[in-house]
Amino acid sequence: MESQAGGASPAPANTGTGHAPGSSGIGSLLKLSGASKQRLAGWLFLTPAIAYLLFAFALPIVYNVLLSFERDSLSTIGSINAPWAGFFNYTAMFNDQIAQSAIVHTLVFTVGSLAGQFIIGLSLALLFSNRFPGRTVARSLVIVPWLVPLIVTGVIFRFMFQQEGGAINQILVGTGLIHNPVDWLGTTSYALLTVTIANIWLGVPFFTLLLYSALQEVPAEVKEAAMIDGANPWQRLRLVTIPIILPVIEITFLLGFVFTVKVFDLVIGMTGGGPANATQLISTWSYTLGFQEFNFGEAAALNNVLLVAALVCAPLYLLLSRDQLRRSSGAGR
Amino acid sequence: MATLSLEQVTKVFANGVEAVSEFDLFVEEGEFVVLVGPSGCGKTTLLRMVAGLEELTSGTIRLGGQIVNDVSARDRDVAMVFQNYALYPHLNVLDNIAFSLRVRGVPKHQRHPKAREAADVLGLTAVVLRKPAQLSGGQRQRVAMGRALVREPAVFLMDEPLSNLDANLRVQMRSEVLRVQRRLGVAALYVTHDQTEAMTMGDRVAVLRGGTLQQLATPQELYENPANLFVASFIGSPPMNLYEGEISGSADRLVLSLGSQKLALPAESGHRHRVLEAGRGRKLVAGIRPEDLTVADGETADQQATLTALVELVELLGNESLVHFSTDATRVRNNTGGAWTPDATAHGEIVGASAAEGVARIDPRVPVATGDRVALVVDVERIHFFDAETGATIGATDQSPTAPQQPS
Ligand SMILES: Nc1ncnc2c1ncn2[C@@H]1O[C@H](COP(=O)(O)OP(=O)(O)OP(=O)(O)O)[C@@H](O)[C@H]1O
Ligand SMILES: [Mg+2]
Repeated sequence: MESQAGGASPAPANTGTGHAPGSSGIGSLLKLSGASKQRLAGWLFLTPAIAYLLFAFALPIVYNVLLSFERDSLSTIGSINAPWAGFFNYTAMFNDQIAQSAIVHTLVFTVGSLAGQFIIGLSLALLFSNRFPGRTVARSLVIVPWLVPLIVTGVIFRFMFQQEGGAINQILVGTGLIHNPVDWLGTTSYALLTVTIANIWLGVPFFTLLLYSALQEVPAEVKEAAMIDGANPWQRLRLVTIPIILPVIEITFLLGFVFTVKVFDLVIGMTGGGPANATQLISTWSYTLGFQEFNFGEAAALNNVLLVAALVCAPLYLLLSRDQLRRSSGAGR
Repeated sequence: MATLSLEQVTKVFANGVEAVSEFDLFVEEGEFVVLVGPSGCGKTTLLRMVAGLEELTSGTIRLGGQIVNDVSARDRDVAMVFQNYALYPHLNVLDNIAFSLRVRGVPKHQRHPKAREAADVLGLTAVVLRKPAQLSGGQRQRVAMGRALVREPAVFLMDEPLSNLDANLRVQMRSEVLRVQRRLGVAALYVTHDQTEAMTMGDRVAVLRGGTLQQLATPQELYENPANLFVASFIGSPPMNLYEGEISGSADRLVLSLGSQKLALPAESGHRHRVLEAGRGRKLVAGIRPEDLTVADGETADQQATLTALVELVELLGNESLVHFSTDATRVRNNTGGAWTPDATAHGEIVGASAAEGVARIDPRVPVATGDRVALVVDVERIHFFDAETGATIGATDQSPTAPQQPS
């Protein structure tokens, strides 16, 4: 990578005061006050952003955590001081069969989605890195899933996977892969798979775009060097290309994880959580708990499982992106 | 180990640039051939075609007698050092060097000692665990060399592998590269900008310009009998002094006029003499190497062929002095001014330049100072003559007799 050539150069000094190093006591005092003035200005610039973050992110999270420790009902939800419930909501949640299966479903759904999205996204990204007629058109078609509202996507997929007259069954029966139409969404053993497939379709553009742009950063000559060194295409992918874009892959997975665990509209549109709660996810079940059964406390407790996952991911994301920064600047030892 | 042969190799890029034109070259097993030429003359393109990274527009490349035009880079068994290193950024020095062994399934405990050995040879011992981003330009270049050295390929291809090293290291690495190449006995094609490198390393040197081969010969041959004006001006440092001239006089006493000055040519009976004689009255280009000029001492000046010159600058280099002088002769350069460039494809663009300059390489003990008017004795036997239109050397009957001919 060309950009690594300057890796040894230190970060520019950020004094901004123009004082020569090693100046007198008064000089360094002035410099200090200049620096703190600058820091103050920095905070002032940050204030709107911080206020927004507090309002949009911190407040709902704190409220959600509070809710999970309260015994709320429709009559108390509006007021600040609802009766304290301790860990009641949490024990209730962990004794709730459906909540338990929702956690498992969310896990399966997330892992399945990410794996599918990565494999398909990487394949498409590799495909688009080659020159072929119609490449530009194909590349822009990739983002189509983003143009369709999620709830509409859910409905379209429901139609496609219908037992009678659904496109998927017609194709599978037509090509002789199956003999009888499968009830994709009505069978408990297939429904989660079907929902996952739909979600993979939704997430592929994200993976494709990020991985595609990462692939463009892999120098052609490095791949050529590997070719000359005798690496076959698979070895070039596994030993050269993927390791080089690994930082991007890691971050893509992390963001993909965050997007996937909170998928809601799609499932509501396709199955509404059914059949027999077979596609009930944390998001859909806590929604049902809260807004249909008005069990706000347990809904909040269940939601906090996601919160914990997010809390694990956020520092990981920071770590990885800092790591990537360090790696690409070549400063790491 | 194999021979390498290129026959009528041509590359035209999609944008219409003809980077290499009908290039012929034969490299013996164990032979070290250097490609030199100005920037953009097609050296890298040529190397990439041999490596299999670039398709030929036409022509044939053979490795060990087998046509490899359609053989992929992976199966050609060539090692290449890229001009800009192309190191694996995610691997440390050791793993970079050992990569080719790794993809061949050599286990770690076998490939690492080999890589370490190569790293030691290249002076990379202290940095074997670093990644490329943490290396200096010169270290990276040596890792790139190491990657080629650790293999035992059919052909070595090196694209300016030493350009980023400091002078000492470069001299040291030159002999190291040669030593390894000799030990493996493999054919090598080595690209450089640096004509000193070309002259000191090459068994033979191919001079390129604008995608066409100008001359392929041993360094000595290239220096003494350049095939044309381009080779003459490209090889040699400081370069040959080139002036516009004209031949006159009688058949047995030809006279060369450079500006207002006249040099009597020795009576010969050879082919060259006949051509010069026939071309009397026409413009030609005369070339005099800096070392073929000496400062005359007063007494002998009259009897010898001399150029009167004004000393403009004296560079004292210790073992020799470079005397920059001006005369009224018209100096020859190409029309782009100064350096030969790849866009000047034909030889017909030589124009006179008014600022007449020249360099003489003389004994440092001869007292010469700036502003002196000196008589420079010309070794007339060693003057080179070139056709002013085509740039071809006049009277060169048998070019490059030392070059092995391709088997047909
Ligand atoms: N991929 C390409 N597409 C179009 N033109 C190209 C391509 N690669 C090289 N060229 C052109 O072909 C010519 C030869 O390029 P090449 O890189 O072989 O030169 P070079 O002799 O290696 O120069 P240098 O000494 O600067 O490395 C140049 O005019 C260059 O612009
Ligand atoms: Mg080049």
